[in-house]
Amino acid sequence: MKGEPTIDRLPGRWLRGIAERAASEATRERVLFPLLADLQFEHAQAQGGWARALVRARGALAFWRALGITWMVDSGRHLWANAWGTSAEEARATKRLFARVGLGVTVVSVLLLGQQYRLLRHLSAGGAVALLVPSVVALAIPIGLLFALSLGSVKAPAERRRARLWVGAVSGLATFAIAAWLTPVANREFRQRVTGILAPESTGPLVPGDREMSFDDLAARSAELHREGRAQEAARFELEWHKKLALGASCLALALAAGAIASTLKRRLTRCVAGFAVVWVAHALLRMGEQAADAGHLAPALAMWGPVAVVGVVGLALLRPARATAGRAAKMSRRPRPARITPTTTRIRPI
Amino acid sequence: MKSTRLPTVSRKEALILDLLAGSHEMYGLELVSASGGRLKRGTVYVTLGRMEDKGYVTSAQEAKPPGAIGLPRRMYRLTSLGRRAREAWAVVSRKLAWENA
Repeated sequence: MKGEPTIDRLPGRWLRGIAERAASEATRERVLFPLLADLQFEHAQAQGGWARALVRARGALAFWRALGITWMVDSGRHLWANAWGTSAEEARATKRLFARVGLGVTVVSVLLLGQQYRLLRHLSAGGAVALLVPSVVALAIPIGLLFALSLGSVKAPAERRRARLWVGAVSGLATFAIAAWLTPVANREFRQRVTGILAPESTGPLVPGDREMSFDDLAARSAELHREGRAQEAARFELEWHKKLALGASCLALALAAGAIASTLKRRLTRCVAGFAVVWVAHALLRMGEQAADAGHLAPALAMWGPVAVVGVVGLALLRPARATAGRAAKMSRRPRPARITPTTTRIRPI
Repeated sequence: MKSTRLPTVSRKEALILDLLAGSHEMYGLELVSASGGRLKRGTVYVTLGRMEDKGYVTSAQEAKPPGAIGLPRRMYRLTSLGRRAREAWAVVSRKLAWENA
């Protein structure tokens, strides 16, 4: 009969195929199939073409919404349950790496802060060194990460590679958060306090400089200067805005570079020297880019992201042959040895 | 080990408990239309799945007549824990009503 639903014309068949590919069995049985069953029932009850088309559209919308929600909930649960790694080996490797990076960051921070403390003590403002902690930690995380990862184990199985990237991503996020919101507040307070000691007669709050502005303040100031037609002045704020993001992203690039150093160089001393070389090159490129952008010769985004991209690409390029060599070595060790030919195995059969 | 955490009831769960208490069993879309727009068809099945985990509702596929095509609907009904949770929720809402007044 015309209008009767048949297998071919049943609504939700296409969505059912998606559910079977994209969702787990539990999600399918408990959320998506009941939704599609109700859609088919409602479709069969609907009178007229328009009503049926509306049922189909509403059902499809509900399906995608339910799939999105279950996907987010399942992903959140998975991340929560496997925060350290999906296997015991990976979890151990991640914990060890985090501990090593923590140690590296602490050592670099203490070295940098010690230098500042000696200077501030002469001004009788030794206590103000605490306000430099955020800016020092934002710098110490990428450097500590590079040394901690490059001085680690030479062998890099898949679990450790994933753990390395995971540690790089978490360090990057932490660096970005510190540089974007914590450092500007601390820097402002530091300048205020030191100015109070050096020039006690000056009163009132100081006008915040570009390094004392939060991520959002920098974007607002830059937009304001662009509106006023002062693009050259805006570059300074744009540079600082990109620097905060690039500093976070540099952790991932340095994690790649550290992987390349750890898997290509055998001696720890050589790896340490290579680590210093990477930090020096990255720092020099950043300084050059900063000066070029300040003078208006280079776009601020390129000045800040260029060095990060260079370190990342070089790290990745060096990591690939090292991984291929490691893969070949592993394959060779697994390959069975050729059988030794002995007089007893080489018998000549008579024709 | 048995969990010592008290079961919780969200606003949507309370609404579903109320609707299911008034009938023997209902399917997802029936709950949506009975709620008068307070439940959405994209989220009701997720909420029902969560309530099943908590033990407030139980579900079973409807028996389809022979020759019927399409997926069988899933029918939901209240469990005894769901009934008690609904009663407890009603008492708590009544006792703390003055807080929101």
